[in-house]
Amino acid sequence: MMRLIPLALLIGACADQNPQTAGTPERAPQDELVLPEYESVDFVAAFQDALTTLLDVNTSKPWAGHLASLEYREPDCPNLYAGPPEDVDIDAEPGEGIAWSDYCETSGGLSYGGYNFWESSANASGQLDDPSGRTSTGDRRLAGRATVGSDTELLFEFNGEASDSVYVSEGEGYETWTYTTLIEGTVGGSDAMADSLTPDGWRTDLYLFYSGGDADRLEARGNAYLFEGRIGDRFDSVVVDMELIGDLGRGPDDCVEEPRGYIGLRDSDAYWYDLVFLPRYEEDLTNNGYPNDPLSVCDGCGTLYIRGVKTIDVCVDFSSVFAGGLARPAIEDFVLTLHDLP
Amino acid sequence: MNLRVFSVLVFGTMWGTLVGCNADEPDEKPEPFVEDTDDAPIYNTNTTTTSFPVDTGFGTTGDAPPDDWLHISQLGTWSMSPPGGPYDNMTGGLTILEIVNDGPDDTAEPPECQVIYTLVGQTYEPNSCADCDFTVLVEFSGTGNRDGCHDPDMPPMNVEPGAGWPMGYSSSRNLVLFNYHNTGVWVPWYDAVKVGDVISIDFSTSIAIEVEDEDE
Repeated sequence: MMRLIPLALLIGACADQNPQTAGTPERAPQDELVLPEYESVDFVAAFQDALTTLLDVNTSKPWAGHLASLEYREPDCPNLYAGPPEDVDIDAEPGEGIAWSDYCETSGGLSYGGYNFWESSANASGQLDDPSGRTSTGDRRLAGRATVGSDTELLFEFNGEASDSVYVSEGEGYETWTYTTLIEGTVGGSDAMADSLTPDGWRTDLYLFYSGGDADRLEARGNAYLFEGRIGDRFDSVVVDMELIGDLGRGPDDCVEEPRGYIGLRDSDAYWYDLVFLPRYEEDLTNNGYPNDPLSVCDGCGTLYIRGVKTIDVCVDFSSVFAGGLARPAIEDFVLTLHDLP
Repeated sequence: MNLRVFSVLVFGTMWGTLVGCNADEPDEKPEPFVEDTDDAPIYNTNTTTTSFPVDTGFGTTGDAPPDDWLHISQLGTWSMSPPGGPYDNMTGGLTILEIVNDGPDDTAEPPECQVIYTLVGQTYEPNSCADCDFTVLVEFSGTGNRDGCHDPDMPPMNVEPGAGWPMGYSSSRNLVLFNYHNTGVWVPWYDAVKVGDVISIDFSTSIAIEVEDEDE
């Protein structure tokens, strides 16, 4: 008889696995999930800092480190190459772009290790006082696995790919510009992070698009992990998928008080704090587990979910993003030619 | 049938049910193994002779000099007129040559990058180049082979009239500068030496290049 008891239990377990008979899986009741202490956190400041930090995660940082590393070079250290290094998976034709590739030390004791490939271009046409105005474009790309530094200081570290582009259209009485940047990799070193909000660098897959002039808009998607310098002394990572429209870019149905999408912060215990604003995509309305009604109000406030548990509303002032927060990149920063290397 | 036999029968029946309790039996069972169509060679330690390449990847120490070098030479002249200035016009020439190491083994074979340009230009105002004595809109007309050229900023083979490159001569810096693709950024482009009304221009550099081994 004793054999039948565990058997019955097994049969019962099997019945629950049967999709034809099993009920909808139940989540753990929210009030049973242990939440970290959060009452003392200044979430308004933390999310504003997170947004400011994200805007700092762009290709200009590794590019600055790259330019500085070219300034320190000496003949043959590092060696410059026409085209990408051999046996490196870089999407470029042979002979396209320039790279340094070496393991060497300068007379001043500066070490170069690895490789760094780059391309850039800049063009402009037209005149500001022409009726058709003036158009300028710039593109640049880095792909590398490089470290530059001394025994005591890491000046530049880059492992991955980064690219960005700028487009400017301007004339008498108008100006429109866009900037796009995507980094998939790790960036660090004092030259890359000079004047940065995150001096110790980051690892990221962040895509940013923003525009200014006559139409301001910000789109951000991806992650950034900060090596040091916690946001609010607590959060080491940011995840974002959002679109924010400014006053100058708003359509009749657009909300400028808050973005569509969400910003998430991760604390050093790996708990996520997601601030959810207006739904961004159609599927946000139907597929996510968040009740939607409170989220569909354009009031500058998002709902904070900690470990997926709804907690409090947090109201963030996004007006600073377009009031000087987004700077138009200078076209001269995209000019780097073999004729005039640093 | 005693209780012991009965329990064994029940246990066996239920165990069989339990093992096959998945309600979603597929109509057709997939083949347990996909037929191996790979024709990769089989490595046999006894019969295969091979050597592993030396790891030259990240972390390698050592400063190996490049095996091959690309030599880039861009030489030309600007002849300014009227003589003595102030100048209105320029005519000249530019030869761009890129060779790898000592050039092709077969001297009858033309270099993969050799372009000879004829230059014409008119000076223009306003001169937005702070360091320049004068600025010239240079139009290029080239002949030759540029397929194997590596300088990403080669002049075009031909430009539409009026759509030339804005360049300027700086006597204080002994340079010809280029308003980089009309961006307003004046970039040093050629070393320049002016003798009388003729300016000699020169850009030469050598960088490493990785050449595919013909045996590979």
